[in-house]
Amino acid sequence: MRASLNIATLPRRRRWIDFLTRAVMALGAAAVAAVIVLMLAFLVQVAAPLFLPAAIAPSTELSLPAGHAKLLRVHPSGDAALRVDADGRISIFALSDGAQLQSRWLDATVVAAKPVFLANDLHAVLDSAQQLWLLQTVQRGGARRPSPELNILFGGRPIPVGAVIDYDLAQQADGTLKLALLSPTALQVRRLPAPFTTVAPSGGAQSHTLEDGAERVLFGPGGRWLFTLGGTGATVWSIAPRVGLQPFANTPLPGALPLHSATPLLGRQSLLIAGDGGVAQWSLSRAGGRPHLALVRTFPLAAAPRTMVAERQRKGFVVLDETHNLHLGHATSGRILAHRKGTVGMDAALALSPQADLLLALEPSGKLHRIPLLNAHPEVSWATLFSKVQYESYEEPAHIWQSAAAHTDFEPKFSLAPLLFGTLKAAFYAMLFAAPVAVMGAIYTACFMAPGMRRWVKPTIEMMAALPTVVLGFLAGLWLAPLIEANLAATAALFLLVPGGMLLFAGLWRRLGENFRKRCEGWQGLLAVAPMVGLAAAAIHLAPTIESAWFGGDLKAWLFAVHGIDYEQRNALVVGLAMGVAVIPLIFAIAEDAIHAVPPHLADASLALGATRWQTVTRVILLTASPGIFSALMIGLGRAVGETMIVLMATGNTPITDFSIFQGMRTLAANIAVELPESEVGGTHYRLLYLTALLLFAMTFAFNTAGDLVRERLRMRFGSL
Amino acid sequence: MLQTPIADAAQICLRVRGLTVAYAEEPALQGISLDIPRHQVTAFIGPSGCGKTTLLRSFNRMNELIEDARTEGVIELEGCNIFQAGVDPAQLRRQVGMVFQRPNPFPKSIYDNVAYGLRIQSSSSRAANLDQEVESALRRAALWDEVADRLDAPALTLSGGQQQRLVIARAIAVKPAVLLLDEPASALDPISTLKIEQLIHQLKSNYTIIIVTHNMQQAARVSDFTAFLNAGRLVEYGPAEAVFTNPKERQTEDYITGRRG
Repeated sequence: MRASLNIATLPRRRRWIDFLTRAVMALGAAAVAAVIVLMLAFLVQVAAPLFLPAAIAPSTELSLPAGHAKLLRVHPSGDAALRVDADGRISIFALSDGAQLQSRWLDATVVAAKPVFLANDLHAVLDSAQQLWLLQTVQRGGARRPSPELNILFGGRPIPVGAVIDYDLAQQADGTLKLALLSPTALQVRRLPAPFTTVAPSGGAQSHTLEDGAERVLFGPGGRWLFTLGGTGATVWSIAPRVGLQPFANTPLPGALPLHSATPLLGRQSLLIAGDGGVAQWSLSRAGGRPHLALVRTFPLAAAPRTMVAERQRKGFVVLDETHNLHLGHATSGRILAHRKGTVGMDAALALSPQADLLLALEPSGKLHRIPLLNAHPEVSWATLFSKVQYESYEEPAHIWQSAAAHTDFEPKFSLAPLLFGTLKAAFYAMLFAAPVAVMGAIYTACFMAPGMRRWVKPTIEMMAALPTVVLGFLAGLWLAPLIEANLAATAALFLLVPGGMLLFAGLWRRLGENFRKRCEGWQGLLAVAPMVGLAAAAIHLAPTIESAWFGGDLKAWLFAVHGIDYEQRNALVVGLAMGVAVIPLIFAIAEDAIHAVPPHLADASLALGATRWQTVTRVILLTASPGIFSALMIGLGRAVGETMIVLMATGNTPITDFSIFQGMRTLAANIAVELPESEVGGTHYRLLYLTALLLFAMTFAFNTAGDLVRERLRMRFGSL
Repeated sequence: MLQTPIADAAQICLRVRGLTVAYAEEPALQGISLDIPRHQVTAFIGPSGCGKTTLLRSFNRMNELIEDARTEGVIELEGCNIFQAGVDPAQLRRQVGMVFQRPNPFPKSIYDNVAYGLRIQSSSSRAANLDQEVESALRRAALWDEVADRLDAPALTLSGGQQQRLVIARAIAVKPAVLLLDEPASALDPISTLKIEQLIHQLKSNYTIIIVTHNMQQAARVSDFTAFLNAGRLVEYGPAEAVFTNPKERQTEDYITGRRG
């Protein structure tokens, strides 16, 4: 009887197991790929709006009563606007339908009207009777049906000011007001009490004669400075309580005189001054000792600017030119972001909503254009992210990351260069320390160490990888950093003496008896520990003597005095050591495996040809293991670039671009950890942090991919494995 | 028991006396004494684990690389004890070349493989005519015609038989006195094996060759003298013809006729 052979079908059970195994593997691989793609897609989706081009949308129009508006200003709530007409009518109307909510008349016609600097809801109106009215729009009616109400301060009485060309008001932190009055011959600053309170103004009126004359007066940053424009140029004035009104250098304003139009930007560090060829940004500069207005950048326009309005929360602005074209610009990024051709009459009054997402243009005929602005992230461009930018009150263009400040009218500085620099610097110093130690350790362990010792050493070092980086960071920041700062000379001595001592030990080793050497073959590393510890102790002990003999007793002071090297307690040295300790086990483990995996028959071949052990290691084993060693270094580098906790705790997080080993840095990863919790969701800063995350992702991806490609190439060349 | 089929002492290249090797107290060779003649092919045969490879690796002190290996006795190379103090194993191995069972070219180019042994000696005079030395070694290994046009190609692109001849070229490039072959053809196909055997025949005039083989026919074909080892002891040693046609010992006869092994 013959048993029938079944070769056509596999048993059912095995088929199922095969199928399941394959399905699970495929699913796992697909899931990993999908997660990475999803993460990438999410990061891109959050970061992409940063680079959407700005646009001025088509307008919708409303019909309002005719009249020449001297001031148009959107109420902070965003749903109503204040309008001050030349004929003396002051009204508040709803933005949705143009319905008039409130209206009253002044006794005289209006000469000028402007908002009070640093106050949200105060406006100063100058009438033809040389009186100044202070208007306040107050929110009434609760949150559900907000309705702004008009108030005239100081008991409804105006302040007589005399014959003035121009004026400006600033509210101080204590609520009191400063009033600057420009007459043809003099500049005067008066102090007014705080509205609604009894806080009395400090100091009386100050005045200074004007020799060259001026056309405009504007309060500068914080109300502590004054700018006068016109005459022969621009003058900066300081208002110090004791010294009085003090003029500084006069700067000519080429192309801008006679003055068409000038608008302060948020924070009033800068003024936008219209000239023939466009708009120029002038900033308060202290370069050269004397405060003056300095030209920062120009925004060339095809037609002469007519009216300008600045954003209230950013350094953006809108310009209406003589050919009825609208231009949307941003000072820091130095760009005109969007244009719109001839829709608005040349004499229109302009106003921007508080969020700068709506532009109002009111023509004397009463036609109100409501123009939506699509301009969420004007600060961000490739140039502001990566090139040097001239920021307000900086002496020269610089790479700066400063996303927040104590006050709201500061200029955000979003240069990624310091963060990229810090990331690479931290990784560089970590690798500088870790790469030689780990790779040489791996070579020694794999090629020279006695197997009995290797069995202990390798798992021990690999265990170090399990140390939580937060613990390393904590130790580095709170223990190591002060320790190194206090014992800088000893640290330097250790770095010199220990490797030097190792070489000395190796030299002495050769002089020992051959029998002893043979018996201890492979255990030299252990024998070296005691002399090294002794040497380290000696280094620490001798350091103060050396320090006082050669470096005047304090190495830090000596470095600063002789070489101008400044020492920061949390610096690249500390980070390099701490992150090195985190990266060493990783590099060591992979490199050691690669070296140990070199087939012994290759080493035998080399030894049999009369090569020494060292020749065999350097010419055959390392060559064959080079793909593995290279990928170990790349993985270590990727880890160092992405490492967060250690750099967060031990770098000082100062976003500076100084490569000195004694200075701190801020890395991309630490920056995300520090700033993401306090950034406004959906805001520019928030999206920028996602962009940096994307950048970090790209960097580690690039390092790993480059590592893999090079490893593949090396493996093709040396691939006997 | 000393066995020496060589009458003329001047013909002796290697003299082994009382060689005992143990791995971790496990004896692999016990009291081997024999003489290896110069410019002849001597084959070691014997069952697996009999110690023939250990004996071979004693001639260039490769056993020392094995942990726990212990060696006693004397091996004299041209009258000089290779175990005595002051002998540098690296220098010894330049005189006693070795080819391993599996072809083990370095992951380098063909040229660099052959030049390796010359380069590590780092004498600049030799580096000057490195090209000539490489060519001559490849010619002597009967590989030149096959690789002359691709010396920069990776050695690992060669076939197994070519790799083994390359390894032989690499070993003879440093001009050793003795060439040790550890089952050099066991991983090769019959045609490559034939080439290797022919090569051994040609090399004999310049080198003292010692070959370890499992293959009786091969030993009979290539060797002038044959030593049969069993369980760490030298059983019989004599001219190949005598050993194969008229073995003195029963054990030898059993082995070569396939009754045991």
